[in-house]
Amino acid sequence: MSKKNIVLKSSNGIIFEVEEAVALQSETIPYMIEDDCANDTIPLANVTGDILALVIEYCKKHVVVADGDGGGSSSSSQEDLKNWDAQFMNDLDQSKIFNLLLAADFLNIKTLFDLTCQFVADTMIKGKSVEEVRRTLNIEKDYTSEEEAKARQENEWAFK
Amino acid sequence: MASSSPTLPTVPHRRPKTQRRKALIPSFADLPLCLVEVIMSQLVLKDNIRASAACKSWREAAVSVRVVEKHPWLLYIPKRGHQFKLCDPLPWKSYTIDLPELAKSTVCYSRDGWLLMHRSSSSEIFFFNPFSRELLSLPKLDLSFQDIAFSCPPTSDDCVVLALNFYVINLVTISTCHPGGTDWIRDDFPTDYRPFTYTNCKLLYLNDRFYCLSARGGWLYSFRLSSRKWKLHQRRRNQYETAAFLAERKGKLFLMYSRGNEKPKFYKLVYLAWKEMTSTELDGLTFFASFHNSELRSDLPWMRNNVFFSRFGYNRKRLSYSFDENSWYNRPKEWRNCWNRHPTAYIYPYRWWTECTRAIFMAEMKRELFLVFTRNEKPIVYKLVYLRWREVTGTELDGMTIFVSFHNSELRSELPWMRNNVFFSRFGNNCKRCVSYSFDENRYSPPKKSEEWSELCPPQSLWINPPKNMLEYL
Repeated sequence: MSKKNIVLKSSNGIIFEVEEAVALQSETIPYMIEDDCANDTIPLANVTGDILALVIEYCKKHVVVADGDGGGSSSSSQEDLKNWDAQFMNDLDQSKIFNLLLAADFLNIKTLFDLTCQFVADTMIKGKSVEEVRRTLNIEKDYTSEEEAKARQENEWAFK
Repeated sequence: MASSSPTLPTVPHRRPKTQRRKALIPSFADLPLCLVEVIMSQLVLKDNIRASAACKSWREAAVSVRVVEKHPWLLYIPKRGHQFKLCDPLPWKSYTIDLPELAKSTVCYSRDGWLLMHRSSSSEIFFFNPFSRELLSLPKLDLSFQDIAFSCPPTSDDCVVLALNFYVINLVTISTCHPGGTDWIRDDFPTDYRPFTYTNCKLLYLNDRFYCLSARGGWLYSFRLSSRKWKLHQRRRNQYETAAFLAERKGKLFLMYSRGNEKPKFYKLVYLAWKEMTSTELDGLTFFASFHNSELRSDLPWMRNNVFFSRFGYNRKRLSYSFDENSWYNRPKEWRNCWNRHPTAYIYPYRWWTECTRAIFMAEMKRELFLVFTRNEKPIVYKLVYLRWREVTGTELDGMTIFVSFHNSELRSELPWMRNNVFFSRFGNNCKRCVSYSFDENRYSPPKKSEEWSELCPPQSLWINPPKNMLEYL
């Protein structure tokens, strides 16, 4: 079986060459290949090099496991993958998470997108106070004090 | 091998410093709304509300995916005639609906917005939806019944109706049928006479079983639909003058006791107790016990109902016990020291197990936990079953709202205005609100005068789930 490689180019001009199976976890890339078949480099105008490197790291990890069927994709490897995912997300800073979320959405990689959303919800919002949420996610308060007081009053129990 | 080679571009790619810093800390408020919505939809109500206070765009996203549960309404059944009253407990507002279809019949059970009715003059049993006015007849049941319940809306293919009869001492007769079916299927089981007294018991369907809580909340039975087996799960000493309510939420079984003027007690059924398995219940299991680990198998044709030990027996032959023959194989002579090498386990909940030199082995199969317990006599196999009611208190309630009535009970977890409350179904012309009990404030509202629980939950009222387009029906 011949393995075809695909060349991806980030917004800041960094070139990545990856196996087709790795790239095809993105549902966006196949369309770009069809649209742009003359050119063998696929430009990804919305994704910077460092984020694309992360995306490829994720896709490579996940393609190996999807490949190794023949009884190999046991529950233990699923477990390993889950741990890997958790570690992968844990190593990222706020800015990387933000851009990874956008990239996963743009490239339409469902598992990565779900993973990132879940991570943001679980570790950056769940059980946190409003102030903590604003701080970790760098959200500027655009309510007036009265508006905020009113919003809190409506559901006072949730802020206790 | 996958080859990825990040090739460095010829032009160094660096932005001016200020721009870089700004890019380093992006604001999640700038995320497209549809992405924020996906994140928000992962949150429970409390976190959703908090996150919505962060900024305006987040509020918009949070509100659009916020799931606030709907509370049930009260249905008041008239003693005569067919003018039914339907009442929204929050705000207290009542509507009258005329349901001539229900004339001369009594309500037996309610679930998922449907009523199960009985007309004793013609011994008809039928389903009725008071909102859509659909009526579904059931085949005639020759036996009378004390209690009847159904598993899910009768419009679903899986719906099962179950009727219980305890008229014969020490015998329970269970009849089941499907809506649209032609006949009832009937089974008799020996059972203890005592728990079933004159009052009705509570019936509730959950995961293939109809649970039956006896009259005063003492004993819990279940009838399993797939195997058609009747089983006693738990005996609990009857509490004098206690009302019990059974409810289900996300696959868990809950129980509430209300007694006199005391605070209602709320319990959750948890896995905690070991149940001894009889030879027939073993059903061909093979248990392999060793110092370090134990294994269970269910489909070993030549080893069914046996325990194999990792130690050699007499004459260095295999040491095992057969439950079918009730005998040991190659049992060693120096029996007394036989189990010394096995450490006592830490898992057993009962003190009486810890006393002596017994060996215990634990294994798991199909997500169930088993225990083999050996001493000089025959080994005993236990299975971990859910048997204990554990009281749910204070913070564990976590905003739960409990609606109780004579006929049915409902649980909700995401009702912002009713958190940690019990609502009783009392309803009358001079009542302006339900009687409720707040776990946060530890009191009844209005303050409870020593009423009988039957007055708080009279047979004339029940909780019903209104459809989404409720007001169109009124």
